[in-house]
Amino acid sequence: MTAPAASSRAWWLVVAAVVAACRAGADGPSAVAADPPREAAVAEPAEDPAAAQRRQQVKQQAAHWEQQLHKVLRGDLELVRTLCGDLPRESRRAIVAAGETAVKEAALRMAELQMGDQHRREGDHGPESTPPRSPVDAVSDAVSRSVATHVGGPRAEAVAGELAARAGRRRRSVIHELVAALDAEVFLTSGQREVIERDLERQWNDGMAVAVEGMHRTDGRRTFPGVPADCIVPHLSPQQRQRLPMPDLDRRPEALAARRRQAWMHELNTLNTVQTPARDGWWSP
Amino acid sequence: MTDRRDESTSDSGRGRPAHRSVAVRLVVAFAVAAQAGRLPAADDIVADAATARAGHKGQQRAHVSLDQQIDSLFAAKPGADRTEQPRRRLFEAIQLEVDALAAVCSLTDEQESKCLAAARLDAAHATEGIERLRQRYAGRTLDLQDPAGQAEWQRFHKEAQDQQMRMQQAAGRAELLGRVIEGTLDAGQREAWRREQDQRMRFQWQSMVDAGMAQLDVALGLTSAQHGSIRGLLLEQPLRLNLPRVWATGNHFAPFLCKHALSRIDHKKLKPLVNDRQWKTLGQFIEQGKGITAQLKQQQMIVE
Repeated sequence: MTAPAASSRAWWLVVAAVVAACRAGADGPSAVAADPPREAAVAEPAEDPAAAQRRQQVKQQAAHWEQQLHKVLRGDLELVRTLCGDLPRESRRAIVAAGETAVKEAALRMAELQMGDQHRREGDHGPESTPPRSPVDAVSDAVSRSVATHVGGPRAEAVAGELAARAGRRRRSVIHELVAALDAEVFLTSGQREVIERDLERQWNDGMAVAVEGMHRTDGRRTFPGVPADCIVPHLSPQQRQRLPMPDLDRRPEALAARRRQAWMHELNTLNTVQTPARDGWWSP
Repeated sequence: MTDRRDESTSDSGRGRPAHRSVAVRLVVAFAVAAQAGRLPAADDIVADAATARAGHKGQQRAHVSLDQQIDSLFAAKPGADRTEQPRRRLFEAIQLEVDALAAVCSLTDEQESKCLAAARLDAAHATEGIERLRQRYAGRTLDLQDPAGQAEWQRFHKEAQDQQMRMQQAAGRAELLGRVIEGTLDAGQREAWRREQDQRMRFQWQSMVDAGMAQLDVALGLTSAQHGSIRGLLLEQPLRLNLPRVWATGNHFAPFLCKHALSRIDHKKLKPLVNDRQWKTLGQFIEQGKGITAQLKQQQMIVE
């Protein structure tokens, strides 16, 4: 640092100290002499540093997921606007508020699951028949419920129908992508592709999407984690089976939940290339 | 020795040694990823993790045996037949195309044996470069902390990558087999096989389109009708994909291929399908599609 810059900085420090002293004086003697609140006098046990660090990590990660989920919310609100047309100001406010709350909750849940919150993870296993909702679905569900409450009628039904249709498209897209990857690996015939798609649709769970995330290889051969072998293997020729290692699926609840978590993260991270949209003034009257 | 000591003491103080350290880590990351049996993609998470691991282990990972690298890269287990293993595996991969052909076109024994002979020759031709690599680099161990070792590693890396590309290409589009199929099938079989091939390409293209449309669907808040119209336009104008190259990197490029296709569609057809707000967001996707064109061509994923 040069000498003039150093002296200028010192001068500003002096000014800041004087201003701070004046402010303390302005608060009066009572402010200085006031006893601390009784509750504060009882020292709370210091937080475990590891727990504090983890809490901080969860907070940071939640901020990332919140950003991604805002992109989802913005799309959902656009859909509502397209389908519902003009809406009273109060309804718009209520729908946005419900969406924002859902974004925050879903982001926190994702971060806690990701950072290994045992309580969350155990709650996340759930029975296979009623698997937990993905963060994207959780936000869309909240918007849909709010539209049902504040708009109702055929317009609310249209919103719910479109959101369900979009979830279906997403599922079919992942299945199609999976079969395309299998095809690239073992040269399926059109008949094989058709029956494998049908079986995957029948046994669908969110965790299957893990198999299309990146490349998984064993001994130079591509593997498909999370995909039930019985959807694939019966439809392959002996030569194709030899080339495609399909171990039995680990169906333990914690394994299913782990794959589901990874798939959700992957789904949200595909939105990385989407710029965070500017706030639409229509929704914040 | 003096030079090395000077470098290490100045590591935190100046930029150049730090850059060298990063370069060494990247090279080592490649070596570790290669050890796992494949070449890393540019945005490969595994390579990032390997970089971190290599960073911790530092010097221990700096010496690389090229014999081991060749075995890892081409998934050959050490032994007398390690030259034969990749060739056999590649033949088995090409053979799957012959099996599909036999299933769709009901080949005669003679037709099938001609196709299998062609597949064998394609596999042999595509893998002969591995032996050249072995002859050139056999018994070599590189010190990746040393600039000469790094330069040699770069040469090795480039040759190994080219060889892998030749094998990927042969697995998905065997040249001699292609010619034999054309010359061996009768008219009816040729037509059936062409139909099957068209269906396969359509199926593959649809998977790329859907991967990209899934992003658009969420970000733009499309209705089913809008989704159907945009998807229809994309399916109408498929890109000519080089499938072995596309799938060599997993599904990383599928959404980008879709965006590239989107950028080629006439705006006059696209714009009426969305509202002004959606058009702004769609514009981002179109720009990304334009921006990635050069990379898709350079990676030989699209044939134009």
